[in-house]
Amino acid sequence: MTDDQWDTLLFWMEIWIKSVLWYCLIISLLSLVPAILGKELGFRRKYIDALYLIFNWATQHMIDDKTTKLEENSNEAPRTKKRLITKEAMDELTSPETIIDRNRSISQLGRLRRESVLERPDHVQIVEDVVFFLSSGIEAIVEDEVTQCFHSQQIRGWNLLARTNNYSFMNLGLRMSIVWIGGFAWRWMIIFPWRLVVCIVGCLWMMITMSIVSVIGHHSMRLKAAYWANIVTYRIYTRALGAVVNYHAVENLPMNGSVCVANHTTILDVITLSNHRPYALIGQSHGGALGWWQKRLARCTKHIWFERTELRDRQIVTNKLREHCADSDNYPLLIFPEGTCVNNTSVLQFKKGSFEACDRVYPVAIKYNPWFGDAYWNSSQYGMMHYLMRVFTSWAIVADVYYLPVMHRRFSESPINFANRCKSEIAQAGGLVDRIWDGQLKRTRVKQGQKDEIKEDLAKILDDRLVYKRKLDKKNSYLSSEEES
Amino acid sequence: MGAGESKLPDNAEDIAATCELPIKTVNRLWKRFQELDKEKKGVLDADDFHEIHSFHLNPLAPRIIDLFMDATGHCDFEGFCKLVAVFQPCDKKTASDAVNSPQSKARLLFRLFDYEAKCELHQNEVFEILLLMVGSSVEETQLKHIAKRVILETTGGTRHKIEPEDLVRALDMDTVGVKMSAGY
Repeated sequence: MTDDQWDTLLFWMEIWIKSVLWYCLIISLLSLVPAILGKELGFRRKYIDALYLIFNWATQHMIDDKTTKLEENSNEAPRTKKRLITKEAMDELTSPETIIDRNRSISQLGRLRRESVLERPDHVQIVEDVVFFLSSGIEAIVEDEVTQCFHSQQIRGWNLLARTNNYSFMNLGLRMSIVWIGGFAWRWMIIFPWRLVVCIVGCLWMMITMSIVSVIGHHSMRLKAAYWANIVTYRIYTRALGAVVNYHAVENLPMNGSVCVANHTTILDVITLSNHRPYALIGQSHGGALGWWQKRLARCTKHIWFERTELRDRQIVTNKLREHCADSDNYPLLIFPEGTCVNNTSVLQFKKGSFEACDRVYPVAIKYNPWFGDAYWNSSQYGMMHYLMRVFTSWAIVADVYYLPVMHRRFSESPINFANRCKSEIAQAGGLVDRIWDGQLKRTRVKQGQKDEIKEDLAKILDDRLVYKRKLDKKNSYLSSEEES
Repeated sequence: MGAGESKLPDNAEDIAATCELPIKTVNRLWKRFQELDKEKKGVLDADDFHEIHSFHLNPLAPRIIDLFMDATGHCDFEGFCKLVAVFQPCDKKTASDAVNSPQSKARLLFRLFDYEAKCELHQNEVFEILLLMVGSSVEETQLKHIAKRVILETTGGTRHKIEPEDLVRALDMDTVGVKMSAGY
């Protein structure tokens, strides 16, 4: 290459590098300054509102397309009126889609008792019992309640992401395709790099401030500085995810030295909640990137990280929990009693461990809006990096956090019942389905004891029917003997 | 989920026609079939069924699996669809020879009892099913007694074995139609 060509190349490279640096600087300031001040500029919320309009248009477009196709095929299909799909209506379009309407789950065996009409002849009742089990079995084969909780939630419309497209791409018209391409370019080329830069800013902030805070000698100053360092870190991370979080019933915000339980959808739940106030985390210590992050956090805040072997010993866990809650300087302990990530349509069984260790919990319900991005982390499907890429290239993460009033364990209430009570409160607040199944069932088989329970239940039902029948026979024979006399 | 998984089965339309299922349902069942077929064998065996948690709890699980299995002890996709098709909802307008008619459902119920395919049910077959359902919670003699009663009452006190027509007659067709349907 000639000197001239070198000069031109260097010139353009310099311009390019300078633009990138300016770009990073502007993004950093735009995310850092509001985070430090605790204020929102409002861009993300306006963005969400704009997206609602676009989704509205896209869904209406698809309805029109379908109607036109129907009309092409038959002359009788009525024309759907053009109606504006409100936010509320679009929220309704997010109910979980199931293949079958489940009403014969094996967990409904108790209903057999109510449904069975006791006046019917015995042989019919027995055959109907068999029918119940047969139908229940087929339903479970076609779609079972446990696996269903680990599929991403479907939306009955389209949010212009290829990953949620249940319709074939061939059916998209020209307008839709252009909008989709525009959306794709926006997400991958504009906001994805933006979010990456913000994420790096967040990590740098976390590293620097937490190290500084950990060397502050004065106790109360250190506490204040730690709180500030933590919350700004999470605010920056929230912006990195493009998350918009709405907090409800803020008067129930968990206090220091308490335990907070929430439903678990993703590892990002921590960020969603910590955007409002910092929490102490509890979990297994990992290696790799996650382990690095854990160590950073632990420098200036008290978290509880267990070695894998310690987790087996219930007593150690309980003691550490109690110890943590006893100190009112410690942040509330954030626990996810389900023990696994669930798809945010249901709440699975709460493990009783944390409810054995403490008598007072703050339940929190987290509900993500699936229209803007799928927050659920299916760890068997995606590794963490793949998952983060999906989140960064979604439109946004929109979440509603419902703080519930503190719940106390009642006198002589068992930890399991206490756990179930909290679970149903959370399910109700978040609009989630309350299920009895243990999330670990996705990895292990059901225990024999549970199988035997079902047989015992049915035996009891048969027995009850026999008793009822005897009573009926006695009554009838008494009545007929009365008539004779 | 991974590479090598086809979005649609090759003979989806043939299966939809044979089993009298809409294509959309066939596709959904294909996804489900692949989900159950963890080792990607192309067929399901008994273990695959037992992996389903709420199914494994079902006392009649072994018999239901037998309904799906062919002579080799495996279930291919067509067999899967054929059986599931019986559980489609039906109404008064459903033809009596349709795969989801109440009569067809009652015949499937008969097959559940009749594991030796003898086309008649004796006290023993009914007893076996009862034993599966309640396990050891009820005494065997009592179960045998119940089985005998069931046979007598189903045949109207006339015979000691049940034939398919007896079952069809004894059951209320509306109830069978409703109770043996999974609304999909």
